[in-house]
Amino acid sequence: MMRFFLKGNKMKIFTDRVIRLKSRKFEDFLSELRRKNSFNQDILEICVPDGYALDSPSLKKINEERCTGCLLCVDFDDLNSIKENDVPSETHEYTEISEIAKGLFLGEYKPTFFSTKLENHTQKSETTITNPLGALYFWRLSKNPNNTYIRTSPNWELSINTTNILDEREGHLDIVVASERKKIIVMEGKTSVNSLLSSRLREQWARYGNEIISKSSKFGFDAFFTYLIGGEELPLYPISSSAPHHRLRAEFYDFISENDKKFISIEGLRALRLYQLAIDNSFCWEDHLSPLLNDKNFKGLLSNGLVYQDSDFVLKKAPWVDI
Amino acid sequence: MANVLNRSQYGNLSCLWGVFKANFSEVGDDLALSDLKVNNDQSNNPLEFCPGGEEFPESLSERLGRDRYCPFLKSRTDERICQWVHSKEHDPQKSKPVGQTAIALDIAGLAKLNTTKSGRTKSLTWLDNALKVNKMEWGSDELNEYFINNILGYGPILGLSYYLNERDTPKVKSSDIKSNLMIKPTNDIVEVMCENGTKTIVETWDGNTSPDASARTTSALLSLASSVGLVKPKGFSLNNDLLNPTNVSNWLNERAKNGKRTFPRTYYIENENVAKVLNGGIEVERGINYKNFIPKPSDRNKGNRCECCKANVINMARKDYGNISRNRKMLLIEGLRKAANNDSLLDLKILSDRSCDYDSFYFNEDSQYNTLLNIERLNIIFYGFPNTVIGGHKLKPLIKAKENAFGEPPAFVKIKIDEILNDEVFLKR
Repeated sequence: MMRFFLKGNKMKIFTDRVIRLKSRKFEDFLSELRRKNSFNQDILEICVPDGYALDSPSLKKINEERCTGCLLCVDFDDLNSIKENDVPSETHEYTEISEIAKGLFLGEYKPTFFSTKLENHTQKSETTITNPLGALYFWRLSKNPNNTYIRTSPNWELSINTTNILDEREGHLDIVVASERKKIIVMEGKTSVNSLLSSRLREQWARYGNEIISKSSKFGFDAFFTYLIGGEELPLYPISSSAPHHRLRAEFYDFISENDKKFISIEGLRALRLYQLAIDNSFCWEDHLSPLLNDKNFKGLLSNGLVYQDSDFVLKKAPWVDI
Repeated sequence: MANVLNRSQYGNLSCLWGVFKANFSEVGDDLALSDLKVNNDQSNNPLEFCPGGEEFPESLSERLGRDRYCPFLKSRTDERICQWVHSKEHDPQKSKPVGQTAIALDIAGLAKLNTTKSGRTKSLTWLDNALKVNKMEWGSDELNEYFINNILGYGPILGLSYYLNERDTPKVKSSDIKSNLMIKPTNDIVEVMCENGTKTIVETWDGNTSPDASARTTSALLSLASSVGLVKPKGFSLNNDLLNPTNVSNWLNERAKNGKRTFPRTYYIENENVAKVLNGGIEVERGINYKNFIPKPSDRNKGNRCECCKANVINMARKDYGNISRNRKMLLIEGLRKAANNDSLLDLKILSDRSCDYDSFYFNEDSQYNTLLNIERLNIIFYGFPNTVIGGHKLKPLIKAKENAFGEPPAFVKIKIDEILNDEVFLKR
């Protein structure tokens, strides 16, 4: 088990890229992004929820017990080493972070080298933990975080009109991140595979997907829609991979195979953030992830690789690893 | 006279304290409800006074320009700022939060609500009590005593006491009693006509149709009831603290700080205290107001619209027939009030017969008695006048009521009520 040890002093404790709107409608959000240059901004704390482990931008104020190692508060200059066994002491040996990052996305299942703190944390609450974390990862992975616009749980969800004869309710979009007024990613957050499969309303895909894409295109945005799944990553590995058996795997892939669904794990996003910090500072979701999300055969992002559907679901090496 | 609380957070009195301290000016001053919202300049931020308010880390407070946050909001940077009134700049629920806050200030006896003819609250006026309470300390015995005395005069708390007293188990969950704590629609069917002359038959137009409303009201009332010692929330204890208003509120705040932002659902009945309320000569001071006897129409259900012009037919029914429903309820309340003062019983059969001589007190002669006995009697209990049936048709009031505790109907209605309530309707106990 390892944890990240932060040597620098410039940790970010919040982002102000959440924009405030009078309306919660998705199309009004798109229209405002097209029309305006400046917005009223709301504050989303990075260490969720509520400064959980981080009360100030100082290393000394990190609560070691609570820190989940999500890497969101860390900037490029700050991440110099990883500390073993969760004990921060500068006299102990450090493992080079780039070595760990090089072991990611290789298309082969390996047990996680991260602690289980983040997966335990994201299982606790979709609205106050999983969804804001997802938004924050995409903000961090943006080409230009200062030109990124966020709407997410717990307070800033958008709605989309998907009412039909069977259901009068509007759809709620858990996470929306717009990048440089060109690309937009919308995610439906779930705390775990179990919560996704047991959800009464799990068919959001069919209701939201087309509507999101057609409304976005009307305002000149390329839109992507995916599930964001927190909790343990193991049940997300395809049966053909070498990952140990998990009882939910077959049911999960049955579900994913319908309606061209896609998914991203929170663990996969943390791995991308580590990759960005340690290997390729220019890595961004717009250049690297969006082409995948457009690929019909691409199904999911995991920390050990990408899931594709050929004749079967398979785990493959990510294209950026070869660069 | 008062209105119904229907959001659980309005049972937490530290929020009341924060809002009151931040906004009180002088006795007699009027305050528009929208001015209760936290201002942009935050000169009236309740969190500055609220015992539940938590401090931001310095770096965040510098950025946000405020020092404290409400632990009940989903994130501490939430721009609604206060869970009761919300901020002027960011209030997705528009007038609802300040409306509920005004009801709570009224229940606590701190302000008088100034309402329109239709029952909508426009502003409040600070009462003499406000000056007295402003000098008290949070947690003091005198403040606890003040809260208890006033909350026990609120009609729906007395209605809740009645149902708690009826239960034969010590535990009560909100779901156990929510069907009692609602305005039940009567069985009277009415016909409305739109501007184009299209007629629509309307049912269930003078009561709650959404189960959400009663669930929310029940949570708020149980929370208030725990403040005055009628029930104890499951898990309550802060170093074996006494069950009193400020201790219960401090306990709720402590839970929220530890991540439990929702209000308790399970309570234990404090039987002795409940019995004292019903047998101890308490008078209802603030029952539900005549103007608020019928809830606002809900448009959530299908079938509430006129076929030709889509006008809300429930709204039309309320406008055309609402006063009859209100008058009948008031008649029953006045009958019970007089019976309590005369130490007599109310003969519901005679009352029903006599009321059918007056058009503005009944819809259907055949169903009038059953409606009075099986629906309106229960509505009256919820409004704050617990009563019981003796010998099948005689009503016995269980408490007394102050004059005008349920508001004032128009003068001609009062005259007719007095005419109906002649000596024949009262029986000796």
